Amino acid sequence: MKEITSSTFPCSTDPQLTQVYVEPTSQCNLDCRICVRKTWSEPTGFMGIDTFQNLIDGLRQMPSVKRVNFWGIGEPLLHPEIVSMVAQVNALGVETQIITNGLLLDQTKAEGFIQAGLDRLILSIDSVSPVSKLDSRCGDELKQALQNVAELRALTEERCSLSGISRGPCGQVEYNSTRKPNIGIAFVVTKSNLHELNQLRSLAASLGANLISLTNLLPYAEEMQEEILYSSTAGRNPPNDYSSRFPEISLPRLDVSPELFNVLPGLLGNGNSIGGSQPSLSRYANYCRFVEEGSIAVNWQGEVSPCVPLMHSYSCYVFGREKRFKSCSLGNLKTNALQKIWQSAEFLRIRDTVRRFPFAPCTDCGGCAQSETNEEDCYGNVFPVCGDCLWAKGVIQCP
Amino acid sequence: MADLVGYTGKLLRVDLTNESFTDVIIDEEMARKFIGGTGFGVKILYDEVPADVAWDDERNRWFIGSGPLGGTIIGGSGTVSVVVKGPMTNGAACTQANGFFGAFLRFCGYEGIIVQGKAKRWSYLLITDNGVELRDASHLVGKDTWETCDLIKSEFGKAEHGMSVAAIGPASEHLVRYAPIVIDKDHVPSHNGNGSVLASKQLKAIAVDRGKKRIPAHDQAALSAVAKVIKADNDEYMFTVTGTTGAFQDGIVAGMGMLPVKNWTTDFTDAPPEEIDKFGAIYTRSHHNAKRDNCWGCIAMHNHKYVLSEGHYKGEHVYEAEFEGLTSLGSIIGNYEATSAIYLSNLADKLGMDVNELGWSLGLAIECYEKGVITKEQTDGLELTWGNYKAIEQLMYKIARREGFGNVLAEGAMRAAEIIGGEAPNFAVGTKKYVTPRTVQARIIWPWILDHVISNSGTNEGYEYAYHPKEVGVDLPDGYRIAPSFSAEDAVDNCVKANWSAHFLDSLGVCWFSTAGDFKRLCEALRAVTGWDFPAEESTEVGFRIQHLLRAFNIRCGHTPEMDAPSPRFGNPPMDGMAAGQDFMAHLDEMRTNYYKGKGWDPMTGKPLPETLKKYGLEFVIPEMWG
Repeated sequence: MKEITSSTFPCSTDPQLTQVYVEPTSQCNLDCRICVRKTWSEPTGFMGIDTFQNLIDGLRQMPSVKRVNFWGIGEPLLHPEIVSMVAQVNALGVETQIITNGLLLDQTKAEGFIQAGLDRLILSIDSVSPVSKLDSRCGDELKQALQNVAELRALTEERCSLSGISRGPCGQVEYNSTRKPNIGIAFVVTKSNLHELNQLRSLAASLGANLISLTNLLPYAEEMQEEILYSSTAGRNPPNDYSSRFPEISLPRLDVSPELFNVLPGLLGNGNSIGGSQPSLSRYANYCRFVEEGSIAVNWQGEVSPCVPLMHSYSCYVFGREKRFKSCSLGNLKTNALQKIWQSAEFLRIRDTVRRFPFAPCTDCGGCAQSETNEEDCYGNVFPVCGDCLWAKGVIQCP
Repeated sequence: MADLVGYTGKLLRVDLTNESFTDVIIDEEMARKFIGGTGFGVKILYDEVPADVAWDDERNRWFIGSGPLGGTIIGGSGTVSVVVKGPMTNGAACTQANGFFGAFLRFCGYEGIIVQGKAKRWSYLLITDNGVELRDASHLVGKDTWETCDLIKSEFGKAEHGMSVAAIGPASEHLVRYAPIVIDKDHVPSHNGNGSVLASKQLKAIAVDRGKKRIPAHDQAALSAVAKVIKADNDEYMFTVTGTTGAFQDGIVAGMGMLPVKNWTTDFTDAPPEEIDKFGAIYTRSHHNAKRDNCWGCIAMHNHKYVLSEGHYKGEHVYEAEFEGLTSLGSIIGNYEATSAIYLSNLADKLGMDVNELGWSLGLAIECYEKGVITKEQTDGLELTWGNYKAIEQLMYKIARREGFGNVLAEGAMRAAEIIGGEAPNFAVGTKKYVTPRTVQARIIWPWILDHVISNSGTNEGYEYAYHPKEVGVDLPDGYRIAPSFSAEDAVDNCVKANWSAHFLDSLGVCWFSTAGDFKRLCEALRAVTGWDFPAEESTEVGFRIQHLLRAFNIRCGHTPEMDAPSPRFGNPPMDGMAAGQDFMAHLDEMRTNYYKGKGWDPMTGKPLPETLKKYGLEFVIPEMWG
């Protein structure tokens, strides 16, 4: 009998809290087909100022926090106090990042974010072409979003010009990443937009973006399953023992070329996938970035979750199976201090369990009654069980 | 009486003649002695189908059942077993398929379904949490199994795995002798024409909703522990990486003469190894847009869907063909164009035909055509040459509709050979029960031949690869059955000791791939589910009990020792390959007699002896069998 080793990562000390995901609102100005809100029945709303103030108070008590991400299910720029929120976090010396669809980034907000000290603004798109199959933006709206970001960048340069704009040999503006906010692009890659990937670098260049973050689609609606690019082996656990049929493959750094991509399928075979967020060619799968890096997620109601995927309850499709994820709250900032929630016995238990990752291999499986929700699994683990988490499998990633 | 723990406690009896549904309560004795699935089906067949009932008599029973592990956290526990008196052997059929049906059926509250009578019009059965309904199927008549599955699911707005549909296709509607039901398009309990039995009852399909009833286990923690071990033991990637097609990789089978080729006129292909490789999943999954298609609770991931990316059938949506589909529509008909074999294997599922019997029937026809036993006029103008897959495609439609020469091949290889006459019976691959073997290279492993020949189930009665005999008290070395073997003594020893395992496993409601046929662990799981004190050795007792009862049923149906024999092509020495010159037929009488003795059957008549029947609690058989 083989011993089951859920993870070869040593489970040493409990991580410090370093990163907070905050959801200013769960409302949105768009109605994208790929969004969880299309199949969602939770009430929506805006984070109250008092709740946010409690978070700020909590952050003062926890100097280990390095970054706050303003991001959730909704569009953060809909929140009327979003600029102030950024400024308050920045005042603590904590890095700030916003993920937005860019449509509400008018000149006032742009000016506000620069003055508030926003470190990075990430534009979330799923197409670079005028007509997207997946979101509700028409061509003009995407154009508007890109223009808004370009204007933010220009404004940033303008503000910086007081100390001198850098120009290249041909007179072009050279964007300096020390000038904030940096620009990033978050792109949900699907079958419909796969062909556009080769345009992302030029888009990034035109926006002065120094980050392109790709992720896969998590289908919330049944028909969206056809759009995923990880139908075969991505998410598969590596074998307990490698063999001549399934050898461990160690790839050195290689020049990217069409010739390389022609031969990679033959080398990797159908038992592998490639990706940057997880070292999926090695045995180190089942890695939860949220827990390992010491994160929490706070939804608009102030509920504190161990990760973004458990911020809300929702249904989605995992490798063809409908799955109901129940949200996991370890406490509410309205009634509990952040530090107290972070150090609660239940949160410690969850972090310890997730780091050991003893969960059943649900993403490898055709599904059973237990796998219909995240409340228990066939190995006897109890809520929240993460064997079906596509973030932990390196399939979905956050910027 | 205390409730049975781990069981739904009842079977559903559907009387199509009266359009009535009744619950058949399962008592502790029935459960313990026959477990579920195949065991229940065989007991019902024996109890309810008398000697004068032909396969297409409305008094015949058609049974489908899961088992006590069905729908649990044990991997691959969506499996079902179909038991019926079938048209190929005019005897029993026990044949299984994986997928989801078994789990969903239990979640609707039933361990199995007994279908009897004949509907007044074409109908289909709908089973949900809320009850059972017989619905009009006139709009489904003539539809293939895939169309039927899609239409029924769309009627109820069900997602792919929101409902499970077992359907018959055109081949069953035309009473092709080897037409099975097809479950959710690609899971096929394929043997002995069970679909045609359903067609004779005018039942087009059975749809089972993904019910919400759950069956609590006696000890859920213990079940979790054993499920975890079984999954870990199974996580060896054999089926994950190669499906059942691994033998095609790297020229393994082709180079060693381990493929059944051109109706077994040879054991060697005349195709280059790189073309044979294209049948294997390592090639097909990376070239045909593979998408995984796991079964219930299964991590083996051996099922995939493809969109063919090359060849004549480019663009067709198909399921990954199993080894037997690929040999049947590949090497056996001299076809080495892999995508066409994949497509035709799927076409067999759509039309609803057993690929094994189909492959040997087609191989027979092509050999007859090649040797001038039949002419182009007899084949309705079809050029039946080796590898002419386009002609084969046309012929498959003819078989499914019993048109022209298709009507001959619709009888199966052995009967078709008799109809064709001349030299044809010498070419036909099969047994004297008129059923063909699985399209594997059985001739290099005599225990496989003997198993096929004497089997009472219409297919094998023992599982080959992954069971651990010593752990359940059987004195056979692990892996004994997969090694080439030409010893009459070993064949008898192996079959006597091992030909129970399929019956026990198929009574539990689990797949042997995903459980690695690990009977010791499966008995632990059974204990956890039921709370019984069920020692591992009891698994052999149950398996033997089912086999003896099957034997008794087939004897009632007129089976004789003379029918426990292969056709000349199956039993005579092959011309080449690993088994060249090995003469199974020369040892048949000796093997058969010793097998009967080993089983506790009368060495002359093959009837289970009274003391054997008593030993296994089958005293009720003795009066009919021995007077």
